[in-house]
Amino acid sequence: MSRFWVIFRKDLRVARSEGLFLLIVLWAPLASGVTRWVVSALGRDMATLGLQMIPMWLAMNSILIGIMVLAMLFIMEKEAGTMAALRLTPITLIEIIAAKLTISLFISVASAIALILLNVGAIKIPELIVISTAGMLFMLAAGLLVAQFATSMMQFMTSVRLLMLPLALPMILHFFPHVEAEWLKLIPTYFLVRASHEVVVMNASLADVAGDIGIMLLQGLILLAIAIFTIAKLEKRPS
Amino acid sequence: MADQRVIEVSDLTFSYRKTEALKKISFTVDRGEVLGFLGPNGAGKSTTVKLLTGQIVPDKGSIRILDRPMPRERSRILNKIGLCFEAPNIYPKLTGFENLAIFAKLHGQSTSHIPRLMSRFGLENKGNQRVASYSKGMKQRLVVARALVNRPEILILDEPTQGLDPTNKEMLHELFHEQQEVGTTIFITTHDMLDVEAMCDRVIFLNEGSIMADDDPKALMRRHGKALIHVSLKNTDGVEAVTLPIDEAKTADRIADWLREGRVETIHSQEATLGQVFINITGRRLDHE
Repeated sequence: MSRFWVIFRKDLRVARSEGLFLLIVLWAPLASGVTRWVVSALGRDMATLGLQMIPMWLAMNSILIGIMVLAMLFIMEKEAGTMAALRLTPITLIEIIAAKLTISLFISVASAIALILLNVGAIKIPELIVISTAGMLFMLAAGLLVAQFATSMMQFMTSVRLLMLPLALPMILHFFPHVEAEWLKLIPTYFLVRASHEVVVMNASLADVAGDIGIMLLQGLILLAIAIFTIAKLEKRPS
Repeated sequence: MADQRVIEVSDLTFSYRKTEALKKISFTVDRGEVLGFLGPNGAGKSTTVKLLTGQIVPDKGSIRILDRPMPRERSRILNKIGLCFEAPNIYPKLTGFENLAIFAKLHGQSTSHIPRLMSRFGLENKGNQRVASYSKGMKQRLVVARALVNRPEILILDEPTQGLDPTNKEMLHELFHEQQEVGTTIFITTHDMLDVEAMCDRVIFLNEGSIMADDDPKALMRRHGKALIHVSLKNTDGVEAVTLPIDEAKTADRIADWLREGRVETIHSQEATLGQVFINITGRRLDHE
């Protein structure tokens, strides 16, 4: 078994044994499901509103899972001292990051599918998963970067809230279409909200939103490269 | 003799910003040898371990392990090394078996020998239990078992018995002896004289980044140690404790006088300890913070 799969399986096992992971993964699907039920109970038409809410839920899902899961996998290793032990085996830093990144993407896709199914049923799932995954890359890299400077989970949770606030802005402003500020485009979630809105509400195809997907992938890859460079540099720094 | 050398360190220098942690140290370790690397906190022991394992890169000097340069061939070298640290850095939510299996697989080994290994460490009935439920001694034994999971040629042990009770300490000493018998080279850093006396063929004293002595422990004790005699004497106020050097001519006469006078209550000889030898050589105590 390759070293990548050893870490992948180990992290899957750790994630399963941690109740917090389950809470993070199920939070957005459950919250969206409850919202849907409440809105329906109030007599509003969920058929249209449900579609309009999908971009917001997808963005929230990517912020929560993207930033939290990968970072938590790293911080737990740091807290237990096992990252140092892993780095004293032949495994490379890239293999460790790749395994943890893959498992985080795997969890995020599962959560996004649950979210879509609960809200609008089995429509546009492949398109929304592609968009959500592209947006998730930036969040994963952001979480990974912040995790390197946190010495404990508590410290991470405190500092990460500052990062989540600006990322959530496009998601909130999605419900105020008259607010069309150019600076919003600096926030990566803007493209995630816009692309998913185009797909679910305007019935656009993946090709129509390829530009937004490309921008998200580029932003994600740049931040991921910065995160990997930072980790490698911090690792070599004598302590 | 060259193929007998498993670790060769030459002129190793390393600084943390402006503090020089290691000052051109050189030493070698032969196959099957147990080398104790002794020094108080801040002497440079952990820095040496970090350099030997390629966690940091030396400012100057070179390290060759199993005839390969470190850190250039770090990955290949690490495959042949077993490492054990003071802190039990294991996955608490996984079982003991899973913890060992992960590291065996990362080293490209099968997991078939793990039950035997766990049994040797007295953990045979604990393999399917989460490590979070283990006692401190059990966790430390698991960490040592993990160091052996890749069947290493060299064991690097950084304070392996720190904070353990005497039973667990003795158990680990036995296990390290077994490894020595099968030809494993052991590099151990410690402040614990019991570790050194129980295991080491050779010791290096490190102080403020420099090697102060490098020899077999008995030779060091002969050369730098002072054997003593402790005598408890009865006097009018009660009992008086007197300590005399064993190798001085007057000592025998004084003791003979006290014996004739019937004043001697107890009498004990005390061999020189490595701790005292360390003080004599460096002027510092080993447990100095």
